[in-house]
Amino acid sequence: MLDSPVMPYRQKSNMAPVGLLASVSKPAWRLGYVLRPVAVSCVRGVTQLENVGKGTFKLVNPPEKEDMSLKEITDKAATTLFLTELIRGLSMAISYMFREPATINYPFEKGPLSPRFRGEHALRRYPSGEERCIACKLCEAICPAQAITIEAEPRADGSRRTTRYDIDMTKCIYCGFCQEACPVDAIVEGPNFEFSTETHEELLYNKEKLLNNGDKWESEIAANLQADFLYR
Amino acid sequence: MAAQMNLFRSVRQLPALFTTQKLSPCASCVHRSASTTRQSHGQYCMDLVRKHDYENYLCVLLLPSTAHQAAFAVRAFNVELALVRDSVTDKNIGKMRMQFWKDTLSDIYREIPPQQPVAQELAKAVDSCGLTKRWFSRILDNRIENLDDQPHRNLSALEDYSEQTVSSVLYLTLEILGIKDVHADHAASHIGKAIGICTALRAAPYLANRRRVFLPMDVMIQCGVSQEDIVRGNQDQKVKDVMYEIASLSHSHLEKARSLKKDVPRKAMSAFLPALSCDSYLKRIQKADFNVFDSSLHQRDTLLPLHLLLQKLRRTF
Repeated sequence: MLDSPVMPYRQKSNMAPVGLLASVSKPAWRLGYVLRPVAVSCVRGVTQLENVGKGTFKLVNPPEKEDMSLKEITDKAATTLFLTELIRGLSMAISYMFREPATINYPFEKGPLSPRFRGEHALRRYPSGEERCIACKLCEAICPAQAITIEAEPRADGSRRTTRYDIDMTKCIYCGFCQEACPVDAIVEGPNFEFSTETHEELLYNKEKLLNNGDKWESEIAANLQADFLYR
Repeated sequence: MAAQMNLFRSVRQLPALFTTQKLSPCASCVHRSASTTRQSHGQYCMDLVRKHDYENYLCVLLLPSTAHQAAFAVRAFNVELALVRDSVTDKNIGKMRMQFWKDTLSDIYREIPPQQPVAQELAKAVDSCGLTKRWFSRILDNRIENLDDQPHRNLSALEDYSEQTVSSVLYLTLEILGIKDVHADHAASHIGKAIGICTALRAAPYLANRRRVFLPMDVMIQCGVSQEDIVRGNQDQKVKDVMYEIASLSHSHLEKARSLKKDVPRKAMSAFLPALSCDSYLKRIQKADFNVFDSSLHQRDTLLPLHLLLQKLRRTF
């Protein structure tokens, strides 16, 4: 009720002394925080307030009625939306608990491999058990990284076989040319990709290691070689 | 609690069991494949033909049993050469492989075949049947030329290619059967051409997948078909026209061969059984309105063994 004398006074004379205006308006301005203009209008009457000239005082409080500005509407809508977002996000997370996982249990499960995958090398045998390689040295010749070393001599039965078949797996670039060049399909790049070692020496493969690889992977290698109608 | 733990452990190991079985063969499989089945060279050739050239495998089985060994050796040799192009990415590597077979062939005729089942069997066949080297070199030389990925320039180039590769195998089969007859050779030449041209048709979708087209260029130009049309599997009327032209050439060769039937010795008829698979393909493509990409043409003819048997009993082709 402190501001009640102020308002009529200011209403009466717009040209109030500066000192008075300054001294009186200050508490009124402060009171604005406590007493809202609506409350003032209730006491003084609406008509009185309407008579107040524009620019004579300043409404410093935020307007009480619902703000329909774009910003306000956007903010409110966003709040609602984010709430549903929260629920939707949570339900998505929960749904993944019931779905098949996209990951695999790697060392025990393995992902799919193309039949043309070029992995660790292997020397194959014929189903009779005889090794295929006849030491023609085409793989040695074609190898762009010069990773293959072959030494050969005829056996007691007259057949020509390798005495040494070394592949430096650290030189190999896995281009698959050796496999393509081999006329008897002896050297192949099998589907094995897990042959990491701790030392360099272990990656210098000799014939025994390659033949063992062949025995180990024969069923996969044979399945990966193409089978079709003769198209030429 | 212990039971629960056990269950848990076994469930955890389950995927491991599955995958190890799939990825690394168990010890017993390795053992069997490596040593216990002692497969002879002849069986190896037979398996090779069965795997890659099933229709001709059936035809060889219907030859007199004395001819099986040699016929399978010849067919296996053909398979080995035919597979070269599709197993290499670069034609020079293919040429290296072909050179190996060239050397092998001369070694066979010098009676020092390399330790390779097909070469060994072929050496045996050459020894027992006195097969002519020229037929083998004809197959070899044409397959080497075919490595270049150049489509045939015209229909007669395709005819020549078929005659050199397919008919040579038929001539060798006749030699194996011990038939020296000019009419039989004449029929073999036409049947070989028919089969070869038919194979070019059959191979078109397969080779188009690999972005290669071997259809004769003159027919393609005449019908206004680009290689890209074939590669993309275009099923327009103009593509069908190309197929029609080629198929009708194959058919006319087959008809020509049939017109020589009465002069061909009856013993030679079994050598011409492969003509039946060609004939059945031509009938099927006609039914499919010469659309070479039709799915019905990709299916294996399940009644083919029966038809071949009937054909053999009827002694005709």
